[in-house]
Amino acid sequence: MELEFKNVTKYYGKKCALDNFSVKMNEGVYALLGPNGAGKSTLMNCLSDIIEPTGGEILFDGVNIKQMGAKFREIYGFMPQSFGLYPSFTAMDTLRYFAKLKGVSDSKNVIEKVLETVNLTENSKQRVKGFSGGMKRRLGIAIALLNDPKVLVLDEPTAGLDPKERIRFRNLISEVSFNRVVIFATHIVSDVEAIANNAVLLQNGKIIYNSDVDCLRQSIEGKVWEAIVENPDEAIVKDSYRISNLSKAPNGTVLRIVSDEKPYENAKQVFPNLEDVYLYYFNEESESDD
Amino acid sequence: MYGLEAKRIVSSRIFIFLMLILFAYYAYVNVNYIKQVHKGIENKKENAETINSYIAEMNFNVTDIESANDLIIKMKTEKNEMVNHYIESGEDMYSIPGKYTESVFEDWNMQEGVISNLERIYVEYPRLMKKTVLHAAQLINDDSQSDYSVRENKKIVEKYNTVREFSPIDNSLSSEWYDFYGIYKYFYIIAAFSFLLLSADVFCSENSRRLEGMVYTAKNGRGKLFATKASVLVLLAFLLTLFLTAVDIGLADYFMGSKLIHEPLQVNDSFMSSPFNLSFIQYIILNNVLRFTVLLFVISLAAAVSQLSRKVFVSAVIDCVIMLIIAAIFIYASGYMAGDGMEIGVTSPEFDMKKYELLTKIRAFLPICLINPREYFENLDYINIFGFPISRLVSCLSVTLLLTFLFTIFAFVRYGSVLKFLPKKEI
Repeated sequence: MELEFKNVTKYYGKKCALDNFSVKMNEGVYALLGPNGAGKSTLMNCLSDIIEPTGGEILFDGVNIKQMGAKFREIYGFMPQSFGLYPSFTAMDTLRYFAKLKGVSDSKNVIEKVLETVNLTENSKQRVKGFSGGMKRRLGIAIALLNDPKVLVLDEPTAGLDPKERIRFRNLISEVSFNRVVIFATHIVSDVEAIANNAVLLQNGKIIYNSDVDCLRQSIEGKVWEAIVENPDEAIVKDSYRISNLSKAPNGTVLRIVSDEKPYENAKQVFPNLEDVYLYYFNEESESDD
Repeated sequence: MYGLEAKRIVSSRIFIFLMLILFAYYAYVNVNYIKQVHKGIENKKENAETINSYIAEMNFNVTDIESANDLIIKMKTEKNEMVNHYIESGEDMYSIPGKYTESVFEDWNMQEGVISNLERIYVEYPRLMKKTVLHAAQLINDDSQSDYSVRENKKIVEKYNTVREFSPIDNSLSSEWYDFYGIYKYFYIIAAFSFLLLSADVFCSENSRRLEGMVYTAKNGRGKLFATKASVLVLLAFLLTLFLTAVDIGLADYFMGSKLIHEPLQVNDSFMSSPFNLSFIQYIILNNVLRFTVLLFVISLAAAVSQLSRKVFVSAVIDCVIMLIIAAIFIYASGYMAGDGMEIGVTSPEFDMKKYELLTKIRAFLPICLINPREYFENLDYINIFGFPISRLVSCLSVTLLLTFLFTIFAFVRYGSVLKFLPKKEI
């Protein structure tokens, strides 16, 4: 099974949202990592055939998904970043409705199974207007899973969830990721670390890095430092370098610094985590976002 | 999917709100009108019974115009003899109890009315038809007439020759019903607007709830879903039409009685020149079928507009602007009425010929005119399109169905199709 993006480009007027995006994906969990406006949602909407790419094509097992049409939609599941549901419907009604839309046969058993997967069996007769954000998102993933998709796309699946719900969701994605291509867009680095095998870093519509998560960490090895900085120097170091973590110690402040060069005389190299990676690649974006 | 889509639509707030308004208005219009005329109707019904028993006593069962004429002359003679008898004897016609009513004078009055009605139905109407048909036949054989004129006149002959025979029955209650049936004009405009707003909401529901990503990516989330939504809306329009038809027939029965509603339309003065071979009950059903086509048109219009804007509010505004323009033209052109809602006669100084001519023109093309189809049925009503005489009813119905078809195809093709741009916030 192979999903291939071939030079996918999307312009909104003169603004380039996706610039020659080319990636091949096989079974596994792929994280699309990037700040707001990087082009993650645009890419997902192109894959969902909701918006038309300005150029390029998307192939599934070598066949253009546009040519596949309904056949591609048959093996495709998508949960957008934000979505509403029909408030008068119960969770069961919602799933029955989408099961019909997805042409699912034996829908009763499938619905029971996905409800169990997302832990909503007890709430199946509850109207969705009374659901919390986390429950709605779980119902969203249940909808996406109804047709047992080969390609599962989740746009910011953990955004706005409390830590407990987020952990539950991460586990859920891991559970369902077997034997399919799972793509999820996020700017929450810990999610990527917890569940993704591969990460694609996007900035201004361009791929700036594409590899497995370990390689990504290795890509900035030697560029992450930890140093105990005494009080008068702290402000200078913080202004001059990208700080990924800060904690107080009896003899000063422990700073975790992302830098190409040694930032402080007692600084020691440490192994990078994905937050360091994010800071390294997207620091300027993050600053401008703020 | 149909059941769930129907459940979704019927349980939506907008559906409940619109239907409440619609039925509240419908109930108000009906109850208010009936309250005003109820006493009069009951009195007339009593009179109708008397009249019908008089007609039955006269044994007015005729199979041809000539024997009807003979009977009318006989009835006239009997009535005149009775009146002459009382005049000659000097007796007070008011104080002597009548055979059918409370006094001889009322008997005489009643007989006068019945004979005049029977004369109209069995003498005047056939004479009018004969005159029209003869004139048309003359024009058909006239070499100087254009092909259009010949075709038009052939249709006249064909239409007028199919009008049915009448039963000798009191027809006065048909006028009461005729006046009542005219009050629905604005109700159906409100019904059309209700379906317009409901359809805008239904066809934009994915976009308004940000569900397009989940719905349009489903196997049946495009063409089949559109077909399901459209079918459910058509079903709702059909059920509404069915309900209103049942009520209309029930009310026609209340106004006219169960016998008169099966009589030909021409029994009523306003339909005297109608070329349609319809009973009142068939006319009511046909009226509602035509109004149903307006609802279909409205649903297809909303579907098409919703696929251009994909936002409920924008769609609803565009739809309403289009419909308001159409309705304004219709209401303006129908405005040759007096302040009390009574139609102004063509000969009246208040009559606005410009408005009337505009209505004559738009009635051939403007779908909303089918909401008030009465005028199509009252007269032979043809329009010349490229030399072909086409009934205004047929041309308006054709335009409505053609537009409905085109809008539906457009919306079907566009539904869930890929966009060049997404709304800004979703980029």
